Amino acid sequence: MSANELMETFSSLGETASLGSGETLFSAGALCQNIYVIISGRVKCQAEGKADIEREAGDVLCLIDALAGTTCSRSCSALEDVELLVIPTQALTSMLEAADNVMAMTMKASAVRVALAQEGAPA
Amino acid sequence: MEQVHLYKGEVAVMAGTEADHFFLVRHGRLTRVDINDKDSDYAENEMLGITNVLRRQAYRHTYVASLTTTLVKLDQSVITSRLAEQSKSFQALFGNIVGQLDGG
Repeated sequence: MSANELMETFSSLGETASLGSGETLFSAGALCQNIYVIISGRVKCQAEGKADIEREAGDVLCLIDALAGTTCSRSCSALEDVELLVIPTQALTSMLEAADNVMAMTMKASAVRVALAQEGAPA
Repeated sequence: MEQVHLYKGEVAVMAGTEADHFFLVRHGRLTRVDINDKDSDYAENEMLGITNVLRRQAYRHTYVASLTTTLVKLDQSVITSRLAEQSKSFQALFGNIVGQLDGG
């Protein structure tokens, strides 16, 4: 799904925000309060002992951590000016509560699997 | 949806067979037979075969029960029909996650 399609899908759940090049979006170990959809720009996600990950327009940050119920597994900073959609994790929780139980369970179980495979990637 | 009980060493899924079901591990553990890597195991509350079902791919690896194991066996229609009934935002996030999963 493109950044524009994601923006259209999620616009009612959150608000847009901007981040300047070099600014930190969130830090490893912090409470996972939001998930982020990158509308434009690139970010780098880092944690000691883990491979760096770059994310760009159309990617979703913190989704796996939020679903797995962990704190932010990596720190994230902007590699250039970035525009984001910020969605509170409460909106994610409400969405899961409204969803079919089996589908919500499947999404959470899949998120845990991705977290294991990617050493807890914030994506 | 049915429960499947496996004793240690019994096969859960066989590489190359059609992935018409996916599995939730209720108790026990599933282990890939071709490598010695615990990270590839599926433990309690993990699901095996979702991407295979969604992508209509055969299972890529053979998994056996490495402990006495109970699985919940879910037909592919469970996921395909119910996913279509979810909100667009749910479908988008689900697609994002499944896109990052390796096939089982």
